Amino acid sequence: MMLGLTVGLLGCEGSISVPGQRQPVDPVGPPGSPARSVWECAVGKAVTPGAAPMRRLTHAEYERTVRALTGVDVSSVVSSFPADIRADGFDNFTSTQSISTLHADRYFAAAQAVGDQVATNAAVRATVVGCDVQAAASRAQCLSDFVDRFGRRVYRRPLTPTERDTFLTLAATETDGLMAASVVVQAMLQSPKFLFRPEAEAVGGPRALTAFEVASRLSFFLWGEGPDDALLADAEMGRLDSRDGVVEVAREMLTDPRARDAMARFSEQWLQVARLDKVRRSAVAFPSFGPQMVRSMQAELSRRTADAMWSGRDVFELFTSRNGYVDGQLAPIYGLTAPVGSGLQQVEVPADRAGLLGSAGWLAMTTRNDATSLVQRGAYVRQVLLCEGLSPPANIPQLEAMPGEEVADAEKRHAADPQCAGCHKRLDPVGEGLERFDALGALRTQYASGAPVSMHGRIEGLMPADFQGAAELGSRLRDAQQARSCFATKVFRFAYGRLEQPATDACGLRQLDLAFADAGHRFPELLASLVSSDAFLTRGVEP
Amino acid sequence: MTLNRRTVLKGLFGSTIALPMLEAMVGSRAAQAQAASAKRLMLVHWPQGVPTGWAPLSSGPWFPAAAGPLPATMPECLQPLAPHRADLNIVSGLTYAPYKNSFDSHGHAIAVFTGYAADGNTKASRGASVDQIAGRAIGAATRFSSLAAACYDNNEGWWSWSAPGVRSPMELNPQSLFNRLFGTTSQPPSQGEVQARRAKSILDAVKSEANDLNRKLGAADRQRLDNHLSSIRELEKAVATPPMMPPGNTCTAPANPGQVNYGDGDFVRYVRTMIDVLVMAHRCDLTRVSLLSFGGVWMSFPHIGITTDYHNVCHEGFNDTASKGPRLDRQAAALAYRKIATHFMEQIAYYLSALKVPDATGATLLDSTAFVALSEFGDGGLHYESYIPVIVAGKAGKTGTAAMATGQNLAYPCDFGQSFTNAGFCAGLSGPKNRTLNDLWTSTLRATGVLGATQTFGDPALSTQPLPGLWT
Repeated sequence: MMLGLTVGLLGCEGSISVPGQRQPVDPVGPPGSPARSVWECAVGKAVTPGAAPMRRLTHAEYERTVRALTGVDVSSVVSSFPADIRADGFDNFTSTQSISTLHADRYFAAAQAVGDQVATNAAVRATVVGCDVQAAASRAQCLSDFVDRFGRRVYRRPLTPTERDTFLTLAATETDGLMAASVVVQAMLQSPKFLFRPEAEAVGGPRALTAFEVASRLSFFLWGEGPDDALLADAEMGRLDSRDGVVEVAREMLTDPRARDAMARFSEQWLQVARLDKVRRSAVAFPSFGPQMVRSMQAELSRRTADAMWSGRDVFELFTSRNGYVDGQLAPIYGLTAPVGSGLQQVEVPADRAGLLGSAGWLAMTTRNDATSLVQRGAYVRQVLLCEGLSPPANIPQLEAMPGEEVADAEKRHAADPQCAGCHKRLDPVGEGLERFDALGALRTQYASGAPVSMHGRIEGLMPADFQGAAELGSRLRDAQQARSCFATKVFRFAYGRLEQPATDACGLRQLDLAFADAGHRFPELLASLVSSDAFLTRGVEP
Repeated sequence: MTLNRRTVLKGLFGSTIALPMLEAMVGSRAAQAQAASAKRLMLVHWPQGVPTGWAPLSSGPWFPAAAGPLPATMPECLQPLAPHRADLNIVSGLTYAPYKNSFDSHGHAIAVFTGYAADGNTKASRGASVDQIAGRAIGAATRFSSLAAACYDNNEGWWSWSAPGVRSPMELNPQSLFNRLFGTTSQPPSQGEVQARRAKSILDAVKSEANDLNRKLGAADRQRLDNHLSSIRELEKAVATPPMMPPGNTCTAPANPGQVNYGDGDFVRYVRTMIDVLVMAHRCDLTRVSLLSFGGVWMSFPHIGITTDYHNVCHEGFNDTASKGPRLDRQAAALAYRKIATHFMEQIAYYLSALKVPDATGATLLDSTAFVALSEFGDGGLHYESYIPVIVAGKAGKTGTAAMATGQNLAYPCDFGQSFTNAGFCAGLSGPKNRTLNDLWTSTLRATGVLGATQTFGDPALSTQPLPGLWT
């Protein structure tokens, strides 16, 4: 009640304040409170950037960057790296990143693999060194040029004189020119200035990032790898010095295949399609299920998501579109005849299973074993599509049958327990409305027992809350501001490698929402807004 | 034959001299003596507890029914350990309930090896783990301060933490672990010397760059960089530290395992390869601290006839409260849970057998070792953080009557208010109730010289005293 009143008042005050006028003394409590952020962010107000802890390259970024730098494929070594930890589905959260002893061992091995190629493979040497490092006459000049040129690519900025000296001193420990180049490459690829993405500390107040720092942020976000020579040249020539310039460069970058690849990795992580790898089905109940079907399901989700992201239309068509892809594995699940030819073919799926929530892959990945789970499907919608936290209460009562009690009765007790009911009433009715689709996503109208399957569901919090089946839930989500903001929030998390912090990020997120809506929820526009925001282009004082 | 101490370099370079040459390369007399008397810590984790609370079958199949000497016929799931009955203790009645944090239904297990309630916001530890603390204290002289390995599914890396919030990932691939320790091929010693010098130069340049960067960063980022720097120093140590083999050692290279996939049917070969390599790492004194996890909740065991995943087995009848459609048969799931627990005990028995192989002096690794195997749950199906099943073995460097008496169910008084089909061992004992895993670690780390006589492990507010009878 109090909160509602306050928001109303502030809405008034906020709407009449204009930039340059004296702001009213803030009566609404701490910065970052929802009421205050609505008030503060209504206009294009400068935003204080949030935390920007130093990021480590993800393994995917490392592998791609090394390949771009050297032409050497290190994927087999990278596959032995300790896996990047997923947080909220994403592999790039700084809170999960460290360089352990095991990491250091593997980075050494990968750098050595590249170093060996530099020493033995003329094509790699031409890419990396680019001059004759063997002949005594040209060696010194060649090493010097190579350290400058290759170092700039590796460090994403020109080297300092101290850095040049460090690498030239290292080169001098080898008598052979090839080995001199090799050890320099190995050291550069293990340097924290390469493995991390350092940005110099802001002292005294927020500072604009340097053009090279902006180039790195753009490149790792939009391309999933370090900047190339052209982007570094853009930085050097001042194209990234203005907001308009950044948007212009970003739009060019989005037309590059690297952007498609990087955003495909975003969408896989957003939707957590890796869950399908852990799905198990009994061979008796689901004989058609296997690794090949999993791959087809993942590929279909990937195609559908890419279509929605790059169609030039509202990205939330993903929730409602009848655009699907099937092959011989998937067609029967959709009740379609298998297409001619191999691979996925584009089809129109039946109307009652339009959208993501009617897709085979989604319905299967939210079902771990043979039986569908109301809880898992409901929890996915709440957490992934609506960004709701569902931490269980601190002390969950143990779920166990009392002596003589049937398990089913124990479950009823659990769901009825006031501590548990709060979550279950938000979860279970969502899953109820999706029960027409079995553990592979095939339509069913009755259970094995012969009991009919309802398609009535209810999603508390959206309007209207009641829905019939997957397609209707999809259109409910498409129209929900909460789902739109959630998607923008997921992109934000992926872009910054961390969760949003209310105190610093609420305003920026609010502005992102507004810009996204103005652009008709077109995905590339969301990316363009994000990379031209204050938070993306400046660095704050460390909290 | 003369060999430079740096010639023993291995998988760091992806190649090394053949291992039998190691026997020609013992360190100084003092170092040998030190290696001979070194205390060792070997930790084993198996996932998802043991059946205790919900089995529709009568009597708990893992815990012995009473405190005191282990029964002549071991409980069903412990039967694979029967050959080692006289050399181990079961520890009963421990908990970490006072410092669990249920940020999700499994993650509180981060507390098991770290001794602090996990941070629910970051889903990370608030302390360093036992293996890392021990490695820093007693592993400094060896090439690897500690080694950690896990079988494929390691629960997002919950077990090993080098500092609060800083994961220390575990080796998941037996071949990689083998290569790291023992290398893959042989090459002339002179080549190893050149490579060692080169590695040192490269790492010097990397350190120099790290120090340069350090000056430009804020405090939090400097902390992250410090982690990187200490990892680089560990790598340098692996390059520069000579092996110090005890006299009469039986350090020989285990067979190169080749690529061992965690294919479902390959679990036994997979885990035993890890055990073989880790045991040999101790025998060759490449390390003095190791941690091995048998896996996580999503494992499956088709090779012993269980077709559904382990999680489903544990939770039969309890999970997916609103599920509709087919369920597992409860009785079948209960039997499968026992079978899996027994299967894990078979691997622990294999590990203990390997530790009992005597060297030329008749000594065994078990003589110098504190061996602790445990799970993160009591009953996995119920997510119990009490009735934690623990197996301890080894003399931790003591002899005669000074060494820990074994062959016991070392039970401590408990009253957890959680159902248990056969917790008779908790009752009728005097002393403080509900002792924690922190006390287990305090005992273990004092016995191995990691902690001093008055130091405790984990959250100081939750650590009390060592457990009487454990390595005393």
